[in-house]
Amino acid sequence: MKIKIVEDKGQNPNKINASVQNIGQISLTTDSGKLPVYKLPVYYVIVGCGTAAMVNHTTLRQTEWGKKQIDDLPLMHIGFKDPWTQYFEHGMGQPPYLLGMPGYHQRPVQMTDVFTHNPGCSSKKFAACTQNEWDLLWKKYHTEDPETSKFHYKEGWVAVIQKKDGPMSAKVKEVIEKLKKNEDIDLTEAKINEKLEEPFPSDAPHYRLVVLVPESEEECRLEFVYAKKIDICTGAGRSAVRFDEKKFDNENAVKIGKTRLCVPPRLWSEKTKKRRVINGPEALMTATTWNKTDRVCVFGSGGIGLNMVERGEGEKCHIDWMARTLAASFNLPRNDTVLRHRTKHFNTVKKEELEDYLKEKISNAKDLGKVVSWLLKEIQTEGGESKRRKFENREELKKQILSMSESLRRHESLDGSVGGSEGYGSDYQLVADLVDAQDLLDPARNLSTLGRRMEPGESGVREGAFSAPTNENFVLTPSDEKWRFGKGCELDIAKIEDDKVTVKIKPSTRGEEAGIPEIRDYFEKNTAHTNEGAFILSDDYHYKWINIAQPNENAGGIYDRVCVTTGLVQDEPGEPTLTAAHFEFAALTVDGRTVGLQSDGGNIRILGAAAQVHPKRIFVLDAKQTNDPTSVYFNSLPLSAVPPGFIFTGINIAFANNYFSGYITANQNVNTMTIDELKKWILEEHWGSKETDGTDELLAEKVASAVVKHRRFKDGYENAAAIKKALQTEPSLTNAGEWEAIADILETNYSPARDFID
Amino acid sequence: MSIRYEIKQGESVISLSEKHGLFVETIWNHPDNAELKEKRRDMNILMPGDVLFIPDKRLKEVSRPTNNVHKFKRKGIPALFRLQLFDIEEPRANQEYSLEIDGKIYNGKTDSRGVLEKTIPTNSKNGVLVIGAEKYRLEINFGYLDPINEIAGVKKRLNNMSYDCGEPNNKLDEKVQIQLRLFQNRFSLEPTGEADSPTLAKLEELHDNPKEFPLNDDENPPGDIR
Repeated sequence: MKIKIVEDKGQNPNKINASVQNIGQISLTTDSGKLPVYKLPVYYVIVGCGTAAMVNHTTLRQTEWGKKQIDDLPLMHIGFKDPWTQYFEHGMGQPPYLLGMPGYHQRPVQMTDVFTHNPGCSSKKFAACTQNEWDLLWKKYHTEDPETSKFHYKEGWVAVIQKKDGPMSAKVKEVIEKLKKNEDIDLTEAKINEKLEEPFPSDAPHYRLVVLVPESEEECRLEFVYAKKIDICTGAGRSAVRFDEKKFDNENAVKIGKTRLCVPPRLWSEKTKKRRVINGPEALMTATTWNKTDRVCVFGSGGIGLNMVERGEGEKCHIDWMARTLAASFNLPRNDTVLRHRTKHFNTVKKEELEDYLKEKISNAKDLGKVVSWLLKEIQTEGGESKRRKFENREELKKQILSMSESLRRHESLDGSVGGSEGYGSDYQLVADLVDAQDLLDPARNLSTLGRRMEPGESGVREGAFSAPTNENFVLTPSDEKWRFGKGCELDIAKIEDDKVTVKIKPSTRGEEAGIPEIRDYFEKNTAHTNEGAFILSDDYHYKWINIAQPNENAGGIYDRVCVTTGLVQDEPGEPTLTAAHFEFAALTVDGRTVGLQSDGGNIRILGAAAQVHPKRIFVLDAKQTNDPTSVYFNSLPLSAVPPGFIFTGINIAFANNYFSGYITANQNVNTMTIDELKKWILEEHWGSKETDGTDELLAEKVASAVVKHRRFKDGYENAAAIKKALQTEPSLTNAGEWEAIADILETNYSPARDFID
Repeated sequence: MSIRYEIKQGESVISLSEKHGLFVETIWNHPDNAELKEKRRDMNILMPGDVLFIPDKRLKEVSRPTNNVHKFKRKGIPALFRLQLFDIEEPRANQEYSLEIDGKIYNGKTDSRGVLEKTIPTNSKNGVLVIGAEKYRLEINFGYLDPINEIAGVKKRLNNMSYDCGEPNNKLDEKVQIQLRLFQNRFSLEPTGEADSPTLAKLEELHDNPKEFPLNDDENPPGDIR
């Protein structure tokens, strides 16, 4: 199905509006006056509505430099709603203190329950901070009267940016031809060439954005927006939706799986929401329907695959996660959060988890809520997890359960809603039997003691246990486990019918990692790099891969959905590579560092991740050995979930808008300061105007260097105590009395946001 | 009882006079409508939201002998509908037409200038005109024309003359600016793109007072005008 792009809806030519008159009346008048003059709206356009766009907007509004840059133009955001507000809640990988963006008035660390059950800032809390900034700006600058409003929003997709002077450039024509060939778009009704040849009005500024405004899943309207200045903040690229069609036997299912690039999730049809073939980021969106007990087969080993596991757990679905390799993707600190052993042992099990589990196992149970509550109350001490009674082994637990069988029979709070004719005692025997048979209730399965360990020498997995058979292709049989991970395989073919998917995998011919994986622990507290070289993996997939290695033909191999996590694309229509292909971009530098790209003397800028993935990008990620200041700075920062991530993006945009210029106290965040900035900060804040003998500069440099040197690669400094602890290990800092006083003035967050300037 | 009535789209003094049993002059010339009269000038081209004072019916006494049957005849208030039709820029002269208004069919023939003129009920709402050998079909909303000193009025007139301004709302936009410029070029006005006095006067002259349409010349390319 192609989405139809149409011209702006005109008047029906076969319809007229008429008056009726009294007989004999002639309504001709001689002076009709003059109507207001139409003034072509000219904007400062920010393409995008996500985090980068919002950091850009808010830092522009908080500085005199930004005020000059906006030049009193009404500012318009063009784009779709921030995708982070639309994702299923998941852990982002970074801790909340690293995700406080420069200029934001609300930061994740200020919010409650900011961690998800997997370590990392809650995606919802992070998105709420961006939304909060949008709301504050909207309240301050938007008015109902479009002529006076300083903040406008157009839900749309920018196809190309035209320049006023001269005929339509060859590059624009090239982009349009690419658009025409795009299988998602039908431009036949849009008369796009004629539209683009329309001359700019005489009072128009230099730039015209050709915007596709979605009206339904099948139709978009073509509109022009005129701009004097444009900032492109579109992020790292759109999720790839180009599935390898050879791997699917159902052409229609694949077509439905490819969402149209100019249609936001809010316009997806029910059919699209329930599609059988889907890409990762779109599967993560709450607009995509996941039903309890759905079975999803995920291909691709990156962070998005991990998100599928998180959503599967949240929605109570079954996930089989298949990848060519484990180690490479799990090298990111983001990924090990799921692999780490969690609270599935009885000592810390939550009521609802235990209830769900027992419901699945006890077929005749109607309402186990009371039994479970009672059970937990009886065998665990009230007053929170820290005071819970800990069982050393399953025999001890089983003995305790059986000993309570008699008292359970007599317990007045139970009304007989569970169990068969034999009463509660039999249920308890059943629970006790489950202790024998299942590992869920095994108190010994404890993170600190006997959890399964992954040895680096095993390349992340135990050979044979987790690898797909290499002798033949076979149909995957979903297990009844919550989720499993398999490596060394790839999708051979997915057979898709209306309501089910059969997945056939084959051994992967590439992707195996030769080296030893460096699986990192999130907080470096339960380190992956112990002296034993061991790391604890989740037991959720303990032994379960064996089920896959022995396919059961009778089981049918049926899934509800196959999800392909194929990464992001930067060279499709809508991405700056094409949208602004005819502009020459050069580095936008501040203090010797490249913080973005610019063209036409800064009238068009590419900021944030869009600049980092652009062909003329800020720096090349693998150039770690160079002395380029941008690379050096990037490599000194705590690692984001994805290399062109929020931390680097946020700080660069703030710099591009001169947010820190002239404000020595602005970037006081030791997690993103350079050595020079730290030194300057220490000298100003610690010594100020006090007269010294010159040793102050030397000490300031020592402390600044040590702060950057010891800044933890994965997650930076959490707080001032963490800074002090790290500096204690620095040999060059000998006089604690001196440097500890300096450490006291260091902060791990940006200074508070400023007021918006009128 | 007299009322202050807020005009809705499709209503005019003539349609309301029929409904309230009053002559149009009785309503329009009432002193309470003086301000509206100044603002709108044409009683049958009002704007939704305009407030019209509708006076109460006056009692009329007539002397007649008792014990007889008397007939009192209500005076009808027919309305006039006039439309000049073109095929591109050629008047649809002497063409037969069929005009269906609210279920009733009126047949006739245009005059030598392509003008259709018909008396129709004052409360007419919608019509469908079929004209010419090719049975060209046109939908008509009666009473929907807005005053020329409103943006919607300009848009509707331009739309009627095939200068497509899109949705005829009361907002200025780039599209109406383009169409005004085309109109101005066509009729040798300064192409300002603004609804200035000369442009409004020309638009009103051509649209509200149908006469023979100026023919095309080489310098003024033809518009798609019907």
